[in-house]
Amino acid sequence: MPAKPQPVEMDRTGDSSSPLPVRRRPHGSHNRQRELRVALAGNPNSGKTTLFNALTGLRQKVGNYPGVTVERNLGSYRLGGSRYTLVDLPGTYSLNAESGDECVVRDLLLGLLPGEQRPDAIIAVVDASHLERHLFLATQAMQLGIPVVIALTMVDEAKHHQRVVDAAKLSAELGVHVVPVVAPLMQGIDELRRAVAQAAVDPPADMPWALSSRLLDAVDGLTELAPQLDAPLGVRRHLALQLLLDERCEHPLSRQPALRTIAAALRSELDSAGLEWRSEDARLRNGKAEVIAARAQSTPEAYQSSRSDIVDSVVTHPIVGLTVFIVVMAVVFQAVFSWAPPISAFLESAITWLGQALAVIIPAGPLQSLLVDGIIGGVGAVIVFLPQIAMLFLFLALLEDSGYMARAAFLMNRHMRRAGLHGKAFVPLLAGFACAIPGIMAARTIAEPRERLVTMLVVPLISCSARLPVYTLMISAFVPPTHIVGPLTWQGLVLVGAYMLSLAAAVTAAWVLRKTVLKGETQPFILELPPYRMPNWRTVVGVLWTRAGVFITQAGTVILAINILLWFLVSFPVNAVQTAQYDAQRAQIRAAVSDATQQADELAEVDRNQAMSQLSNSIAGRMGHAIEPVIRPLGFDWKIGVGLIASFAAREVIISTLAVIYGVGDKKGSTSLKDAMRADISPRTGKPVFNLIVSLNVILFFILACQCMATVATVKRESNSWRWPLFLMGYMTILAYVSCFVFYQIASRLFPGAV
Amino acid sequence: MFARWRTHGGQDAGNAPATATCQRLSLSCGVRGDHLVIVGFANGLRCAQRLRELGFTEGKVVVVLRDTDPVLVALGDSRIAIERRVGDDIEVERAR
Repeated sequence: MPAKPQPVEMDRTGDSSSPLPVRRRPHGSHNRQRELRVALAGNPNSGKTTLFNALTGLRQKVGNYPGVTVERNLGSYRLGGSRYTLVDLPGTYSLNAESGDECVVRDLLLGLLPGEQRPDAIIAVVDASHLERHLFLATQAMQLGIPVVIALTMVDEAKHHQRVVDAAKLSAELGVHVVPVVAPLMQGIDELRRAVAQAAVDPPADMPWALSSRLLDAVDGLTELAPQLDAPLGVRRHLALQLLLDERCEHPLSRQPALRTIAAALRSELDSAGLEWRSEDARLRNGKAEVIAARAQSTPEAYQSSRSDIVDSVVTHPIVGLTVFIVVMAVVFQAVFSWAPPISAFLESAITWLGQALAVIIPAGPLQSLLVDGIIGGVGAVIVFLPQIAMLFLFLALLEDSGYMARAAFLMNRHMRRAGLHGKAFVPLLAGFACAIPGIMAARTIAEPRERLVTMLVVPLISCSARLPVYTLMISAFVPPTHIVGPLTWQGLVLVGAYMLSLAAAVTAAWVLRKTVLKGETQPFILELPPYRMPNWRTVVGVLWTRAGVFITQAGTVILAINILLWFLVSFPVNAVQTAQYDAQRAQIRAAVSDATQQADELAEVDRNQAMSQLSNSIAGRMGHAIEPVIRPLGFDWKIGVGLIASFAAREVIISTLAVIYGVGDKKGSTSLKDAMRADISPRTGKPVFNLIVSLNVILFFILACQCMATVATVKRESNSWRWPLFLMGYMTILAYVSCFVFYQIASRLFPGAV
Repeated sequence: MFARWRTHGGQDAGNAPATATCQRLSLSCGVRGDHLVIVGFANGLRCAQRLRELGFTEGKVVVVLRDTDPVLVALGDSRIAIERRVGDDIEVERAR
């Protein structure tokens, strides 16, 4: 095969004697300070992220591509007076895009992504232990007319299979720089940087298109018409071939009527010529990759049982493997729910301390209240979730990076399928037990839009950690702690039941949605199980850092905003007459009561009474009264109504709201809140407001209702429309209301004594 | 399930007949331990492109590691899980 004119000499030792490039860049600026954009492309599990971290260190910036929800990781490094901005692309097997991730890779490399310029060079990551397969993407990249450097990873893994990949030979075959790297040990990183600098000034690799003349004519015919005229020929050809293969017209360009008609005409022409043109590019590319790989590696790739296979003989077993899966998940949840809360408690006390410190500095009044209750309280509401979510992300990243996650998807596929979900959907559902937001974000890996959407729509039904405090309060206050069998108590049964019910609701909802609103074919399940690897701590920490950052910026801003809004709703309007009355009472107590402790107690009593009447008169309180007729058939009164409204900020806010309504300091522990709730008598019926049925109904409502604006905002972002978040809110609210209505009406008739 | 593996699994698999329901030999018919050569993809298999990207080409040998659903096969050093309904459309023959 014709290689580039001057095959590059590879220098494995790293002591490169060739001087750094000083030649003028063909189409670049004349500035000494050059800015170069380099894209990092590679298959999933090729060690791409580790390489990205090794190249850029901590100079990274995480964001999103506009309009799509694919993470955009940028990093940079300097070399020879130039600044290189590195874009870490999502892992992909080819430039023939299927999922949202892959579309971003394709469009970025082709220069079609709005606001992103085409890269000046591409680092194609090629795994030496799967050389042939990885050359598919690499050769595609080399045909684009953009300079390419190949980073050869996993050389040590290939050696395990007694296979040596000769980088110099591979370089000669392909006509581009090939740099072997061991990213975790920082080996080959400098050489790679130098090779990129060199490639950017050299004429780009020109891998010829190996297609039959008939198909190439058709592609070139379409190339002329493709409007990306300032792009290199390779980019335009790739685009034209994509349009030709895009029979479902999924590519944005395929929607242009003129191109669509011509593409259809060319297709039928090729069909009538009796060519197998659809698979031609892939077939010839695979053939070429096989030849190149055979020349560059010492022994051909063939099946041999590996250490991973021994582990897999246990882990992918339908019964033993499932047991392992359950144990692994149990460990993860044990960690999330028992290691994280102490950290949360510590952070919460730090936040409270900060609020108290501010309260000392700033004089009492609306400003102090806004800062302490609205803003600091809102930040606190976000912070308390962070340890759990970070812990969950840590375990997910470890499972992902070690290779176990693919095995779990393999095992779960059949079970997920029954509900109409994709095999990969178990990760979002799992994450949903900590928080729906990372769960919804984790659905990005699902390629088929409807399968992804159905996952996003049912994840919010999974009982997240914000619901747990509500369950705990209701259960400890109203469910008897008596034993049923052995150590199992009624309280435990209700808690387990709540979690089971949420899972059942999610699975049923998925099944129903797939039969109705989101009908459609399921995407076939094809998944690579990468060899088990020791997780790389930099990758794990990087992923953890990225995801936690996304959570804080996305969910955090919404939770904070809602919290501030809620503060307004509970703080206004202020009744000046009442305030004066309470101030007078306080002055009276200070004057009349000499004993310090007694005085403090009586003052606190006045404070509580004022907070109660303030809340009752506030907008939120009035809203609670206003919705009472609607929620009365569920057995709820206006106080629970206020709590429900407040819980839109974050579900557990209902507890602090109820504490204010019942005039108990929520800081003093919930024992007093429980007592107050038990003692509350409804003035309308003369019976207790809360009882077992009502408290169970509150739990039921919290399982099913969509009371989380941050979730709604995330679904809006991820689905890029208002339609689905509104649908989510609608269906969950109706589901919750109807279920609670039915439960209360039946239960209160069956057990009239309990009401 | 276990019984089937005992009968057809391991080294005897080469002599074991394909399951009765398999008329043309497809990847899904393979039992654990089978070495199968890819002959082609049935017309209209939408994910043929994806399979080719993963290295599934005519003439390549795959080894069946698990005959569950999804099927787990080895293709060289890669391990790939394929749902049965996809495997049904991958035409194979026994490797010599």
